[in-house]
Amino acid sequence: MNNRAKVGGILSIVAGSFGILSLFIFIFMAYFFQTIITSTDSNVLATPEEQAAFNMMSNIYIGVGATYATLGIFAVVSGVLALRRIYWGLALAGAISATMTFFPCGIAAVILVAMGKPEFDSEATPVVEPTLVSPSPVISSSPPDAS
Amino acid sequence: MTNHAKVGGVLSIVGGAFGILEALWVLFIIFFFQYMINITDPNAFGNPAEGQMFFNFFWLIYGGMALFFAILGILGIIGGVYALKRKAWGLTLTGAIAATMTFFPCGIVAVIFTTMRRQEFNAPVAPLPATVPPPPTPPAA
Repeated sequence: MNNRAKVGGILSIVAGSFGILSLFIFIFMAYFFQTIITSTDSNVLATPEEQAAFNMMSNIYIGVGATYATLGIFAVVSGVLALRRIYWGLALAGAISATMTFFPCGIAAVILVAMGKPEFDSEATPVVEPTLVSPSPVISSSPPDAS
Repeated sequence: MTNHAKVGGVLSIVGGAFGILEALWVLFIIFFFQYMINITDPNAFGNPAEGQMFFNFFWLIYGGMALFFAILGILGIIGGVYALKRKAWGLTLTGAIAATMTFFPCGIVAVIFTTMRRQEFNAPVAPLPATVPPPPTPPAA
């Protein structure tokens, strides 16, 4: 059996981690801009309009970061599913979302998960457990006792 | 044999066409911006030399973007054509990935279809059954 599903799952998890990391990067950028602006000119964010504009910009940045983080969490979860070789469709969807967060890893994850579909199918095949059957009663060939 | 490779090829061509359109759009933006600046205020950059330098820089960045999109689009179209012919799986996959960069929805589906139908590419054509002449019928007595 190949390890395509496993490698695809790992790549999906890596790309998903980048997506989660982007949330922190965007939050950091919002605070970084605020720090830079206020440190250079203390009168920049003095008026309420300017403060509202800056808050809107921060909200947009945090919203974009939250979107990336959501895609990243989905990619990580689907990467785990790919490692376990269950739910091929969900694993592929997560790999696609990983493509949006970090393209190089994500596109490789899509290719490997798509190529590893037989691995999922073979793992999903239910294993027939041997059932214990009680032995059938032995029929004696001797005639029943007349007494 | 399914038509997944063909569908993937068509989607790759569509993604590549979007790449060409994006390249043309970026070129249009360059000319539009230059035209608007010249109409509204030719001396917007102080002196003509600074304005020319700005436009050269602008051309460099946006022209590079247009070239990038055009290359991706051509690659997507070539890959799509090869997918329709079911030849050169690697080049087809490369074109599908390029189509993903130009137009994501079509490109990602093209990548999946192309990947899943690898066995359709370069598959040997089944030989036609050999025609065996019928055995001669014995002459009627």
